[in-house]
Amino acid sequence: MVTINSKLLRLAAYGFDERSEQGFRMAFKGAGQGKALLVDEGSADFGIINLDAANSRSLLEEYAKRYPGKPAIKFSVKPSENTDALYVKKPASIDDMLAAIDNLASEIEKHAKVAVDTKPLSDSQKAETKPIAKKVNLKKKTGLYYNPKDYLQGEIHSAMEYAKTRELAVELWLIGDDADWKKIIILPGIKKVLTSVDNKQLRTFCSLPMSLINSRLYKRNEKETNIIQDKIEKEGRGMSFDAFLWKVALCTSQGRLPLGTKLEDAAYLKHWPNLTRLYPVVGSMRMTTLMVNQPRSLPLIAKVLKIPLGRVFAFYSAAYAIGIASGNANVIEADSQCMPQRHRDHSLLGSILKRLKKNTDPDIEAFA
Amino acid sequence: MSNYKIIFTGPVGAGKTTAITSLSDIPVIATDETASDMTVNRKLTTTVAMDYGLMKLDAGERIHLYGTPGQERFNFMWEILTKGGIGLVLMLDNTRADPFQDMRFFLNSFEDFIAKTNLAIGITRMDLDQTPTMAEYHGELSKLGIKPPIFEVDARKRNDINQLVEALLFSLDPWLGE
Repeated sequence: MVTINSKLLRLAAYGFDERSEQGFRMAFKGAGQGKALLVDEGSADFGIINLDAANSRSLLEEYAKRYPGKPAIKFSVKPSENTDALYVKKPASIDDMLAAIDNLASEIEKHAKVAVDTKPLSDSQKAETKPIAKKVNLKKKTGLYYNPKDYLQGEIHSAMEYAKTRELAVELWLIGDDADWKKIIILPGIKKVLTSVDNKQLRTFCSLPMSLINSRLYKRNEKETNIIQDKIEKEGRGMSFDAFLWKVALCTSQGRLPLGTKLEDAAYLKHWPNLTRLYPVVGSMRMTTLMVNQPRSLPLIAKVLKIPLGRVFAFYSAAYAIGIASGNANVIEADSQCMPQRHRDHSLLGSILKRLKKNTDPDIEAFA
Repeated sequence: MSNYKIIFTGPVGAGKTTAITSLSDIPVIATDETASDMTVNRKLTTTVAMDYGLMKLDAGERIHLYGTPGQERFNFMWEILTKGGIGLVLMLDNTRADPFQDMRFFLNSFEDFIAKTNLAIGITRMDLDQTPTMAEYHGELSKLGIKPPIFEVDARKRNDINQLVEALLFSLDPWLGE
């Protein structure tokens, strides 16, 4: 059984051929199990760079630009010019590579400890600590893109497609931290999902690559499907497919975009999401207003609405997961940048909004 | 002192009076009478003139909440009611025989007002009848060439009605709450 390991390093390979990448995968599944995982660039926390690749210089520059201050494991046949603990000389043995991964892990841990130290710091310590804390933030996912197929999101999506096509109930069982099986039951006939996974557990499951989650998939037969669906429908339980997928995508995205989204394209919504029945996202109505009538770039939306870019990406990811968001490359930039005017009664409408917010039940937990 | 209105409309039993009640700072003045026509099939009493509620804002301003009677024979009142209105909330009952026909009727009746202001649509009783689905509503609205906010709501739930009105406000001005 593969256990969930929060210290697992998610690495992307840069400048290696397919055979080498396969070698990494095998090593991580074998001797390196629980230490690292080879993932696509969009899902990675750190990189392994081949310094012997023809484009190694540009790879290094791109890596430094994309992940400022982040360490990387470097492979080369040439001896290292300094005593870089993250350098691996080729031909590399599995032990060499695992040693480099251990060094990377200890470097991250060292930096993270500095970052979470709550003791008061002297000015000189602050100056030293600040950039390091900025460099390494283990909680926040880095990288611009993620591949939903690598996560529970992809698994749920596939299970839903299967259930809809066959018109049969599908159960996805996941083992949690408490070693109990958590169930996600997909009922295509009534388009409902029933789950014993609470929000906290869902966030944990969604943040891990599916390969690290011990899961089982059960398909119910027609008779069983009908019995379950009738019972759930009568009891009025369950969550709509869209509501569940929306929440799962928010938890998985963590401020990243689904792989395949082109940042340079304008994004738009086919229609308003059913926001009263979806997990709330702060600013979702303002984002929707700008995206539903005119395609606009996501960074532009974040800028003009003063909403953190990561939240705009998470919102887009959720809307994309339920099939209402898309990109459009053929938008004239001037149209995209043309913004709606303020209403002539802006101040009055603001007062109404304030009054409505005051009367909204505070127990609604929003994704911020 | 400014006086503005938000108009609630929709067919009999769609939850207009309940929605206004959930927003109003005063007891809603509802002119309900015992239903004596086809309405009796849906509810025992119905609004025969209008509903009235009031939202009191911090600066002393007041927003009047008007609910139109649901029956078509009162449509002579609608034009008068909408004067000074900042937007329209259309409530539709998903258990009625043809909710799309209801939707088209009210969108057509308030066409001029919607063109000058904006619109938000709340669908009630979807828990009792899941069709038409939200996707089908979007399809129908798409045929009409409009993309207003449209949410599944329970008129008894204040948060649902708050969000519906918030969406109307953001449609009018996305720069609110900056």
